[in-house]
Amino acid sequence: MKRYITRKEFLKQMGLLSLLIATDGHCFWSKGKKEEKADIRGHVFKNDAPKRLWKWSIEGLHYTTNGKDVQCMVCPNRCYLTPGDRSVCRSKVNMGGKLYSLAYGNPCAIHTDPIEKKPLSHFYPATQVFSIAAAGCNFRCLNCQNWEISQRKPEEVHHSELFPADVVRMAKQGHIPSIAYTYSEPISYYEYMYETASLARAEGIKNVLVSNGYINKGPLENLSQYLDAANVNLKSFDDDTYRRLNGGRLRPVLNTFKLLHEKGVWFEMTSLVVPGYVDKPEMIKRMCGWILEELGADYPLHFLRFFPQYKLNRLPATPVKTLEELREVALREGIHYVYIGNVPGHDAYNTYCHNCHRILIKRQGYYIAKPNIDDGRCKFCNTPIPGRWGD
Amino acid sequence: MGETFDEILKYSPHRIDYVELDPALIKVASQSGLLSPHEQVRIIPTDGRRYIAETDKRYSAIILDLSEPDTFQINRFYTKEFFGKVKGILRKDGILSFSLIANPNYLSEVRLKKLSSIFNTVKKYFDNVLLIPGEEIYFLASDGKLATDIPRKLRRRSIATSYIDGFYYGNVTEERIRSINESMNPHEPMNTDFQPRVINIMFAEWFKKYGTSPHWFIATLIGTLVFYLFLIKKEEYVLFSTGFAVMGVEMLILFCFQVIYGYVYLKVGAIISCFLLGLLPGALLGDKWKKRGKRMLIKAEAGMLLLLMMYLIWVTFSQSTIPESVFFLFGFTFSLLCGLQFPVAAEIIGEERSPAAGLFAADLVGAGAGTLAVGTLLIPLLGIQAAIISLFLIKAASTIVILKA
Ligand code: SF4
Repeated sequence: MKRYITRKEFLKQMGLLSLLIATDGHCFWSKGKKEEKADIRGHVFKNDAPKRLWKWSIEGLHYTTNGKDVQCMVCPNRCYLTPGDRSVCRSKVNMGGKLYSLAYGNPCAIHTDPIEKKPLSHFYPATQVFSIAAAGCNFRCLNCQNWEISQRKPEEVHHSELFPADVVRMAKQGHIPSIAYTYSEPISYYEYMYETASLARAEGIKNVLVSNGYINKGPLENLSQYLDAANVNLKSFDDDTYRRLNGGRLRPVLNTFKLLHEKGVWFEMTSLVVPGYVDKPEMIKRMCGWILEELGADYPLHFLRFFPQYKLNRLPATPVKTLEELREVALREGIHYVYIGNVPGHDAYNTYCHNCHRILIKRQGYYIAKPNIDDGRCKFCNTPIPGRWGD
Repeated sequence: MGETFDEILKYSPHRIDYVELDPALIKVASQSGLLSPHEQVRIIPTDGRRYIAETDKRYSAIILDLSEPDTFQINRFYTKEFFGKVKGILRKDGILSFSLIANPNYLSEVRLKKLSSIFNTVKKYFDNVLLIPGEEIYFLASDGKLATDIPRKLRRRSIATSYIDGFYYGNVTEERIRSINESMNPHEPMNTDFQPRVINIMFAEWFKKYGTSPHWFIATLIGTLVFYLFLIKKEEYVLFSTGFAVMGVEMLILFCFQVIYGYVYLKVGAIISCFLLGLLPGALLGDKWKKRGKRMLIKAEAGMLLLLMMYLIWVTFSQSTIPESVFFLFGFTFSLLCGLQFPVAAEIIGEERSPAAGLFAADLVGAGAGTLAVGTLLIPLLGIQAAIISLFLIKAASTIVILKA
């Protein structure tokens, strides 16, 4: 006898099928919350601190505590950590009502680079710089080139052991005149950098900060007494872009530039020209207006070519034309020294005197001809050239 | 593309053979002036792997200019099988070069695995393999001696370049070269066509990058399947497993086709049609023979197991390039057996025990689960062999169910 499927059976089968589809589909689509796309600023990691401190820990500088909770005051994130929490930058934890850094003496990258690589074009050209990094970062840039160390916990990366005195000793042994805190974000290993910098200064070694500039006034003031130079990113001139692309805010970065200027630390500014985010001439115009008003025309500005990286690996590289156009805008606005980076062989690697426009430093990559600078002045027109040029 | 030729032409080679699979790319490049005609350059519009297998020419240098091996289509240029063939068409002391993405400042665990796997795979065929850590990691492989001081070599031949002249000494220091070459792990398994170790690693990297993990997906898929299997009847499992296996085999055929031929998109329609075409004669035959009952069902099961076994043997021992038609025929036969099973199973089970909708649902859920499990988990995470073995086991279980019924 024929028997037809009953309504109940039909509903049961359909129900099962939908359950299967819905649950598995959920795995694909559950992640994309709307507000995350708008603002990618990092969050504190609740209960993520390790059970015990390790050998490469030190009590943090610049923090407040009520005996239980702590608040780090190093950068504008001002992480408020209850016991057992880990900071936004992943390298600080609250252990028993005290703030500890887990990034002290455990660099995950150690290299000797040309100073031009930082990039610094007006700071003792053709010298070497001993460069170190420990894991962590207070930003979340979608295009991070170093995400494997910046977006990792100190315990997750393999590292060497090099305490501040060892760093200074190694630089000295190699006759390397300066130390750079670079690659990841040195503000997240502030204590390690601060101590190394103070020891380096005592030994006559220069200190170079390569950073996103997202730091509070007090810690920067303290650090700047030992700083000789900095390359600080000015990632865009738009607070919204800072939130969406970098997970930070613009204002504190601008304050960093003002403070470095005030303290007499030599610095250069870098903007990575990410297509669709940081390539609007109008924005660059506004940026230059602010620079001229607050810092003057002398600090060099570097426009770097973007290459597909990290989460922005589907974007094209910046067209060289765009970089040239932005450079033109900046020069026209009145910035004296505007460079293009990541385009080997480009003329905008050279330094041209802002007064007579003759070539002061001809660069073929890191191969640098003898500068036409005498005593900090253009050899041709005697104009003082901003920067640190040595004897 | 044009820039690559300009660089190679600086060495005044007798001939440059440029092998490109995509004819549309060649057309666009020629039209937009990227491929200016040059008497030394010969464009060969075919699959690079096939060209290397068939050519009788010998080369002094072979350059792979490809994206990262994160798909089966690209991975086939970084496997043991491929490097073996490359070695075969290189002159004595000829050189193979390619580059892979890695952070020049820090080598993560995942990247180390990827580089080590490819390093060990190349090393099988070449006496010397050297990694040069520039903006990317450049691999040089040869039986001849390899020098690290490339700017000096170029100066001797008066060849000028923007990058090597200016940036090499700053970016590629002795310390960086030593550190990367010493860090290669000799125990990392090799990368092969059907055990694509590098694809697994690239998956792991992708999950790391986005701070997520496939575990939830795997757990939910397994959880819902177990729940479903718990609710269905034993007989329905037979059709569930058949649906699972047929779609699983379809995914396997698509992947293997791509590995062997380098392209699949134009043939996807043909492959899927073969699978669909097999169902109709299968169903007609099944309807005709449905009275033969359990024996017929077991024969169909045995047929599927046999086909899976043949597939496994080919993947494990032979991997020879077989004609496209074999793939089509295989798909056709497999789905014919599947089509055959449906009316026979329905007849045996009877409307009473399981209405047609229940059987059909079991078949469909099996097909859905097979596509998801084989396409997104088994092949990328465990490799082709493991995927075939899994299908074999699932089908063997259903045979046991029938035998016991
Ligand atoms: S330095 Fe780190 S711990 Fe301190 S406020 Fe910034 S993100 Fe938080």
